[in-house]
Amino acid sequence: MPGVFGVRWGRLLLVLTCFSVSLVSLVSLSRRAAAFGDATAVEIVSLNVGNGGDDVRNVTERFAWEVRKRSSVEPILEPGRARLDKASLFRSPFVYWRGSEEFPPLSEEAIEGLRKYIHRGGFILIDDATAGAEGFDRAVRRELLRAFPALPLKPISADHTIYRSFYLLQRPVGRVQGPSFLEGITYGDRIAIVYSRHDVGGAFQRDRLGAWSQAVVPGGEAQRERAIRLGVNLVLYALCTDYKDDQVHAPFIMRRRGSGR
Amino acid sequence: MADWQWQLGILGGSTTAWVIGLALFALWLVELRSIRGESDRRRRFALASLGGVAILAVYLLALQITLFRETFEDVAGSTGILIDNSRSMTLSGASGPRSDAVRALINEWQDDDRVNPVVYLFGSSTRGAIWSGLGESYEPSDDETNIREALDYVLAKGADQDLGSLVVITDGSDASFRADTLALGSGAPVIHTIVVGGDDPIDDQAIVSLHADTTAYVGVPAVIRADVRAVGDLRRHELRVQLWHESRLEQETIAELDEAGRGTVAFEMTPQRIGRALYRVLIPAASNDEVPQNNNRAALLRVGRERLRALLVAGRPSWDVRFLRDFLKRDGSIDLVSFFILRAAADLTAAPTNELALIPFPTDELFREHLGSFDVVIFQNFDYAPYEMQTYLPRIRDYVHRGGSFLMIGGDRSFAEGRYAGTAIEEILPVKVGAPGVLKGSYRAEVNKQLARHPIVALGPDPALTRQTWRMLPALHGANMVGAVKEEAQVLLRHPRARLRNGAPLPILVVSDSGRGRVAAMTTDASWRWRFAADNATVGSDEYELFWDRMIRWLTRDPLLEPARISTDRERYGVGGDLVVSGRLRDDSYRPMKNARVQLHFQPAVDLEPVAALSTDQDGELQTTVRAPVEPGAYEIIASVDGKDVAREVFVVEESGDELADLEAMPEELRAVADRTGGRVFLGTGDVPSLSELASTSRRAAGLVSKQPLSNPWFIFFTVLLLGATWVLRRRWGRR
Repeated sequence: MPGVFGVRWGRLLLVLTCFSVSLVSLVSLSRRAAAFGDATAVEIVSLNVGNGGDDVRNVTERFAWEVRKRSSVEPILEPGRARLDKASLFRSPFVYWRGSEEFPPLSEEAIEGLRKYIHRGGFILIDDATAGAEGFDRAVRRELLRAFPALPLKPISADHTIYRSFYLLQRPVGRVQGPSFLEGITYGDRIAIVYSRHDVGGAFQRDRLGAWSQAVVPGGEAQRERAIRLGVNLVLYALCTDYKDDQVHAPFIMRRRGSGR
Repeated sequence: MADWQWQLGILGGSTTAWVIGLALFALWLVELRSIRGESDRRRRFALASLGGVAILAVYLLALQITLFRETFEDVAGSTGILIDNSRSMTLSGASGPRSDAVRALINEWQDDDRVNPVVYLFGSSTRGAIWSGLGESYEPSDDETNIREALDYVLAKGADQDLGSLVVITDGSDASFRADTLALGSGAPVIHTIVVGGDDPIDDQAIVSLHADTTAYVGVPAVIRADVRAVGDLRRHELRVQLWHESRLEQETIAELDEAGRGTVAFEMTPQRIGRALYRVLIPAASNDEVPQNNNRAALLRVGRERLRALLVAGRPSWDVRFLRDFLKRDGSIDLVSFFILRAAADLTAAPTNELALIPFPTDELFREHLGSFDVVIFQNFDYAPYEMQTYLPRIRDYVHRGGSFLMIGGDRSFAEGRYAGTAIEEILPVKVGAPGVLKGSYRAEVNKQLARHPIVALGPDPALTRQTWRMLPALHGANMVGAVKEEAQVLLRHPRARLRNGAPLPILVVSDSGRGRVAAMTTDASWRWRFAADNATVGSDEYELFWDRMIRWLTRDPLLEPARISTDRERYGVGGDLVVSGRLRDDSYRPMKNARVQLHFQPAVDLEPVAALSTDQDGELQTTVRAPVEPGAYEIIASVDGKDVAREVFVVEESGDELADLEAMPEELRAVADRTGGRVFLGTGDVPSLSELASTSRRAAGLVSKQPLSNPWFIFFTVLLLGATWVLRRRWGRR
């Protein structure tokens, strides 16, 4: 029995040690981002339009995790939620709006909130989780037309900064391959709203054990990697806008674009 | 009769006249109707015309027409002399200096003691002079000729002095003078004009004026235009014009002149260096050019960069970085170079380099090769250590000391968190970096009451509204702890509660000079919250832009944001010309320097003593007139208070100045003035008679004369006769 006890205590010690190391790493990782408090940190806030609560939160958490792991940006790892018709919308200039179903017309307060949010510098990534169904797509286009009648959604060209804000990308993909372009609303000299019909967030989702939640088709894991890279690029674009258009970057990017990719 | 005017004496004036007139006309129409049945045409005509004349006579009687006119009487008037005192009177023609001719004329007139004239000198201003001894004291030196202003002044004075005649002695070198713009009433004196040198025209080629923008930019073509002119024999000569920069001939051209001998040439050049550039436009003097002084004029250009160059280095992307970069990029006056650290050494990009849009951080290029080309360097939440930048930090310090500017913005990689303690950066920062530490939580930054006028934080029109605006701005979050504020630094914003170890409030924004440069430390990374204000916030967005715009402009020494400024009324002066200096002086806290003793001196110095000493008023403003230096060249005038230079302005002194630039006399205009007043014109002083011959009477108003030509018994009798005749004839011919 002492041996049994010994083995058991040993395993427990091992588990506790691993847990402690993980905890310490997690705390140290989040320390810098929260050094000045969450109020000024980068937060990928999910938009609550009445559907898909936990599902969306999982996506934004994974989103934040991938951005933090791959770049110098240090987003909050447990991002919050916001509503278009509440002041909570202004907690972060980055909002992720994911949906899969048609929704009723937004209230006038929500439309006004959307306009103010964009006018003051906010960025919205709209992600069609159905990747092809018409309900959510129809509702999104309807509401964007209401909010910005003079600024229609337009395809984003393949040479836009979004495709080179961090990774060099050829075309957008998500959980599904989808159309060969993203759509966007240009406000002033930046794209303020990006609309994807590729279910980018679907490629980020993991279950509680850390396994991927959804299969990525048709490209499998290589396509998932490209979808994650697109997500990282979108966050970097929201933070840096046309930084990668600066003249100093041009020769490097042209050389790499021309080097077989 | 031409002088007579008329008016109606009837009560009610023209209105009553119209009413009565229409009523009488109606009466005449009734009379015509009543004789319509008369078969005899002669009788009908006689009754109609007799009735009409009678009614007209009654109407004229009723109107009570009055004629009146103003009368004048001639009285013995005084004599005035208006003498040109400008520098052009010193020029010489074939018969010697014009001023000598004037002195000789004055001495000759003074021998005739029958007239004691009132004397004025005119030039930059018009002022009285003493007749006795004027021949010896006459030394023309004014840097301007304004005949119109002088005549207006003397005519206004003359009205009180019963001025009978005025003798104007001038060379007529005032191209702007036009006789028909002069107001000469019926009481104006007789004006005689003596055009000195009118019988001896000058042979001259000259640069009349230069036109150039005072501000030019490196690498951007700028244009200097020169109006040139030739008179006398030199009008037939070729007119070569050259552009010189320092001691180098840059360009040369031949001017095309019109029939009046005038033309314009343009030189395009591209400044290559920042600073002040003195360009000279020169006409090589011909041997018979009688006024070579006006062949050489100068233009002083302040050469800067067309756009401010700003270097923004950020330790990682953040909202603070994003909003500041957006603002700087939108500002068309700023050429922004930005570098963000997108990937740290520990980040796992999961991609080979050729799939990344990342470039190496070009530290050597930025901080060794091109550092001097930036007007401002901004470290935003940037830690230097991972990028092996230790060797560049002293270069940044030296760059600031030479006149650059540096701004550090807070974050968890700034100040002590960025390990700047003990580095060359700490030497230039307005705070001591101290030990690492950050402060969390939200707060509203308080503006320092003593420094509420400082342009960076003056968001309102006055200190009270500025403080109110700061109270309304969205809250900030977090701040870097620092060691202490350096002695010479100014704390513009501070935390409302947090304290440093020495007990002083935690500074949020501190600024100071460092060597010849300027530095600022902002210990928060949350100013973007002002721009991205909450839904219900009404203050913030505009204030964010104003705050950062002023920050950049103050750091880069925008003249408009300097606490003390002086300016001169012109950019170019003739030697010894009047130079009007005005300005507003404020201390380092941007509070007016009230009643401050100010000394003005030139640089390069022309004398050990200041050129003027004066006091500012209650608003810190000053104005005075000083004499320009007598040596041609580029100068600064510097205002100093308590031995410290606080403001300066540049100007140019030319040998000719505007006064000697355009010497073409305008005898026709002077003749027109004389003709309008019955005066005489003399070209040269040779045939001028004695002063008593030019004296005249003056006309004085003697009151009004009036009469009523129709209010006499004969006209009344005539009217009654007409009415009676009409009545008798109507009765005889069977009418009522």
